[in-house]
Amino acid sequence: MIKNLYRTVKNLFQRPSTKIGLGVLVMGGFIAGAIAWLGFNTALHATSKEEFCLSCHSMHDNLLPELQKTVHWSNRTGVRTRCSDCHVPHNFTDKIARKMQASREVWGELIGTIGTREKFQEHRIVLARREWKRLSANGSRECRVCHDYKDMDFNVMRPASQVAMRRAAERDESCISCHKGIAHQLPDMKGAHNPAFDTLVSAASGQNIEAGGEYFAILPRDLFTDPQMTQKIGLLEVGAKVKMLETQGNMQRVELDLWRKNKGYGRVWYSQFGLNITSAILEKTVSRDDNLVKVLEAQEDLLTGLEWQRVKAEVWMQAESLLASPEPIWSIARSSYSSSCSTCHRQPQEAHFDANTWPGLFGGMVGFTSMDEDTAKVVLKYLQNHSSDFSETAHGNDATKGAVQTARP
Amino acid sequence: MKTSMNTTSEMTTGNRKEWLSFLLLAFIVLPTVMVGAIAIYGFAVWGLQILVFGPPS
Ligand code: HEC
Ligand code: HEC
Ligand code: HEC
Ligand code: HEC
Repeated sequence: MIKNLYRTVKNLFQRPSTKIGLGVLVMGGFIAGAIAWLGFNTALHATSKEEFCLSCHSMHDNLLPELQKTVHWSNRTGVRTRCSDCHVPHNFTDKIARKMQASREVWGELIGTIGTREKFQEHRIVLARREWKRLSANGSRECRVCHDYKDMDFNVMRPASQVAMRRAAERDESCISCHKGIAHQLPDMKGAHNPAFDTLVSAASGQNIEAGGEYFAILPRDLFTDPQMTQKIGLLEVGAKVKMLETQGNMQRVELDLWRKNKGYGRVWYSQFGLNITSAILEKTVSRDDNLVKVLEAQEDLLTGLEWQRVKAEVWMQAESLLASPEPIWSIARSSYSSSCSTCHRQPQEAHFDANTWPGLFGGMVGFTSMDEDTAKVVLKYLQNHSSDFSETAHGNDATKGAVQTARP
Repeated sequence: MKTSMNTTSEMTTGNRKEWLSFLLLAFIVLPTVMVGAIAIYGFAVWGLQILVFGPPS
């Protein structure tokens, strides 16, 4: 059977033609080749059309309505951007490679990987990450087919755009490092997961814990009154310091020794007197409960006139979430800070601001970045804990002064 | 070869067979091989992008 097939194929290619003239063969072959190429190109073109993209339900139901709300769908100049303008590479090799990658997407559509809106929302961060990686690697080449720095008149841009865009042009930066979510809703960063945290988790599971030692939380953790986790009484934040009391199975009793403002429920607990570095947030129901919370001393903050109380509580939390040193946490935060916050301006020195100023500044900026919620919290803690309140070389350092000024044209 | 083409009937069958082969080669085999080769090329580039090159620049 196979041998037969082999012979047929061999004959087809090797037996010389006896009846059909050479010219006819060449012409026929040429015409056939031309038709085949034409057909191939038509197919390539057809599979780059918007209609083709939208023939899959997951694309039509999720991405189209989002795109339709943006300036790339309809604008005053009437230039419409199609899915393929942004998503299909324009040179042959990369385009073909991309089309082959689509085999995975066809398979996904068939088995319904993102068959519903919920599934899509859950999975889209993975997809978005791929596109971000691609667009960073090629310097957002697809965007720049339509708008490139060399053709931009920065003077007619909105004032808000000018500083950032001039600087981007100077460094010939990839558009996507600042313009994420330009065509679709951004993925829900809450569900996003910074893979760097995985190393912390494995470090924590190997951490040798001793009663009486001081440890730092690597992840936000729920707090309970008892090891059976019957009553949740609050949340311990990343980087918070606790004192180990005892371990029971996979639960640990720890002592919190923190500060709070003596007003309202007093549920937010800070790591130091006078500094708004949140360490724990207690439930309203227990934050004034004398059985749980012991007030050790009180002190007035002269700046705000508020009374601060040093408070102590013994609580239960899940094991394997503590490290003896906060340094591994800060090093993750540091790298996230320097990569995310240096795209528009040099990242300000940590010690250029004090711990109570950082939250406001950071909150105004974090929206420009793609940090997920957990990472953002850690980075803010990092900045506060390395702010001028903690640094001997605070202010005075000339290098820090220029940090933001250089962002101006 | 020569002897088999003595009669007209054999000539027409030989003729027909040859045309059939030609059409098969030109309009079925050629496009298939072309699309196949490009697909293999595409998959190869994709594979290399995953393993070696990273995303295209
Ligand atoms: C088909 C051409 C085309 C492509 C490709 C394209 N754009 Fe645009 N873009 C436009 C047009 C047209 C406008 C609207 C101009 C106007 O205001 O009339 C626009 C507007 C914008 C704006 C201004 C939005 C606003 O609120 O005013 C930004 C930012 C932008 N594009 C970024 C990008 C990025 C990033 C990419 C790549 C992922 C990209 N564009 C790809 C054509 C394109
Ligand atoms: C360093 C970060 C950064 C980079 C890189 C960058 N942009 Fe911008 N761009 C901005 C900011 C910030 C704005 C203001 C956005 C706003 O106010 O909503 C802006 C505004 C714009 C606008 C609107 C201009 C207007 O009329 O106000 C366009 C169009 C635009 N960018 C396109 C691009 C394109 C295309 C690229 C890549 C070639 C790019 N940007 C790269 C930060 C950047
Ligand atoms: C202006 C350029 C542009 C256009 C037009 C565009 N996209 Fe996107 N698309 C992006 C960018 C950039 C991302 C990366 C995620 C982000 O930043 O929102 C993305 C992400 C995606 C994703 C991954 C999931 C996600 O939401 O991140 C899918 C799927 C997608 N696009 C499909 C489409 C389809 C289908 C169309 C046509 C209806 C389309 N895109 C049109 C730029 C574009
Ligand atoms: C999309 C571009 C962009 C990104 C990303 C960005 N910034 Fe900024 N940032 C700006 C611009 C523009 C200004 C100048 C605002 C002004 O002059 O009013 C600024 C100013 C600042 C200032 C000075 C504010 C002041 O009042 O002195 C600080 C501090 C700052 N940014 C911190 C950060 C941090 C931290 C991050 C990372 C979470 C970050 N920035 C990410 C655009 C950006």
